[in-house]
Amino acid sequence: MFFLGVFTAGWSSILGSANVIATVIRMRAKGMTAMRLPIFVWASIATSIIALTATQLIGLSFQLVMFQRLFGMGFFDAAKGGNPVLFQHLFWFYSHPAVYVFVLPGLGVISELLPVFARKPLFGYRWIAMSSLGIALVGFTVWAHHMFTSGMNEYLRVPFMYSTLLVAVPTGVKFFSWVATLWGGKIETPTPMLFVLGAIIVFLLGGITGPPNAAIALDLHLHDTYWVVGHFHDTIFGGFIFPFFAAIYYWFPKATGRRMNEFWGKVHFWMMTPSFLVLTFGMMRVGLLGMRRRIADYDPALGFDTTHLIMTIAGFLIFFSVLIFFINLFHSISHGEKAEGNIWNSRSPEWQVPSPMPVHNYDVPFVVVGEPYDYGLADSKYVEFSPNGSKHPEFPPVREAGKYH
Amino acid sequence: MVHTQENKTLLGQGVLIFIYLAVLTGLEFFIAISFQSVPLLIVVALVKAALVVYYYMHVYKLNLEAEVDDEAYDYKAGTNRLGLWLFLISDSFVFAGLMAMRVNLLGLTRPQLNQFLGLGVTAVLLISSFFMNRGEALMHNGDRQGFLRYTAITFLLGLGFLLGVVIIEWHTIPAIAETVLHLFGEPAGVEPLKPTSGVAGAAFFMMTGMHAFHVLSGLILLGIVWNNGRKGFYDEKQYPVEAVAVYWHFVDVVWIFFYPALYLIGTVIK
Repeated sequence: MFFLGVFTAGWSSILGSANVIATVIRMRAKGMTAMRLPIFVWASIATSIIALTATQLIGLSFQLVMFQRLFGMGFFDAAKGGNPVLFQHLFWFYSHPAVYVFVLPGLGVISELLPVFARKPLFGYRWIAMSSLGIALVGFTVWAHHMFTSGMNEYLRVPFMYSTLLVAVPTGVKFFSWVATLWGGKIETPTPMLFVLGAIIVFLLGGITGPPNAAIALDLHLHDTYWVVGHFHDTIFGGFIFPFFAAIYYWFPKATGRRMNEFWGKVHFWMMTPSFLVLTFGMMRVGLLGMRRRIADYDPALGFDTTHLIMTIAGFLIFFSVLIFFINLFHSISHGEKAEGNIWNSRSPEWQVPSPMPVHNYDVPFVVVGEPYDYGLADSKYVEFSPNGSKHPEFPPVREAGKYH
Repeated sequence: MVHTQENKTLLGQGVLIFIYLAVLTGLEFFIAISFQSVPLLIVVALVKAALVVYYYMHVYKLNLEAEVDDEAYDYKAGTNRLGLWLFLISDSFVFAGLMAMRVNLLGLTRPQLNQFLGLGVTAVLLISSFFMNRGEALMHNGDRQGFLRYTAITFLLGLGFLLGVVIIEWHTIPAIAETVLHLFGEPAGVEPLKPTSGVAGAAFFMMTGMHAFHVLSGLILLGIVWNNGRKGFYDEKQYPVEAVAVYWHFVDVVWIFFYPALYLIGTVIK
């Protein structure tokens, strides 16, 4: 049953990613060239490439396990000549790209929101777009770095170490572009921007704790310790959870026509971020001292007790902050402050139509006439809506009503 | 639908590609028994796959331009074509994973199988691909009877392949399997491969099973297209015919790689 659930979920992500890629390739608005796509779309393409291809491997590996159990086919059974490490290979070939499925949309959200709140053009648009694809593609070549201690062939270790270190290059391109975008901007800090800034800092921590794990000599010591757990939480919170909250605070008015409570949003942020940092630093500390993962009990003389107590308190603080978030979310759906216009002053087309979205989201087809992130530049325009006022030559003919389905 | 190519040119192209494929399959067999050269076998399989992908699956029809006329049938068919190719890319990762499994578990050995049966089912599948191509081309030129005839032949050949693998190669019905294998020159008393008998059996049944599953779904789709064609569909909107044809050729391409991987490469495990 568990495997059938995995197949269904995998099937849905494959179809979803095929949909995203086909939509981006075939159904863009007039004038929306590849280098004018919103940066989040680039991140979605990269995510979809991974989901389209790698997902098949998790389905396959689980199917092999299923058949081994049901029919006694000895794929991973050493007694029948099978190879248990093969399962790890097939599994991690999916599961490493899968963490990029988490992270890439989050990084896209950061790149999307930063220029809005820094009121400045996004630095290095092309490089950020290409680095998303770069992370996706390099992600396919690094799976065995989870397996340095698994007993696989030793000559595989060094190539996978180098490919893993290579991930730092596109990620670094993104990071420095974000810093350069912030530099000299008129930074506003409503709740979404707070979460974006928090994400950048936490993701930096996740990023700089990554290369030590990739180095084989260190990894043999660090493998399966709390250090790796801390590293993983830093990347996933920085790349996924923080941008996820930022995206909800940012696009909530678009979906509902009301905005979330700003005060409680800030309480959420200021409660979650310090506790989170305490939590992961604690994890890294006990990890470096030698604490293994998946161990419920340990000798008090090892000296992990105080750190674990602090980590537990920090963990509960995060829980309460997320509870505040959910109360805020459900309260704001019906009682939030009305926000119908372009409240964040964004240039993106979805903010140029009323909130919540009308049934036909773009009743008048729009034309893309400029670069997407030229915030603060005089006379720059991204999209143009009015068909009559516009003299743009590429404007499509206006359709008669009722042709949209 | 614009008829850009005359029937005769298409026929000539289809026959020519089929001859290439047949010659290359023979070459493969010859390489396997004379040189046992794995790189050569890989090259030949890649050439065969490239021929099928370009000429039979006409990958060049893919159009990646964004267009505005979203009401036109050609535009929708173009988007569907892109979706189909994305699905095939995705699907090919399953088969690539199976291939990786086979290389990891078996390396330069192969299961004990009847060579002539293997060559036979491969030939049947390749011939079915040729008839599929003919059927699709005839439908494009408006020859409904020809389309029905050739699709039916494709269906029967595909069914032959499926039964050949599932009944004879898998020994699901031992009486028939042993009779047929005897005809193909198999000496009596050879222990048939079982899924539980070691990794060779496991890999063989997994790979042929996954492929046979795709052949089965291809047969169902062929049946649907044939039935709709009989009822008089596809005068204007011909994309479904093309989609089924491309899928059928894809199944063929997979077998182009699986055949040498299972029957030709390396030495036999005793």
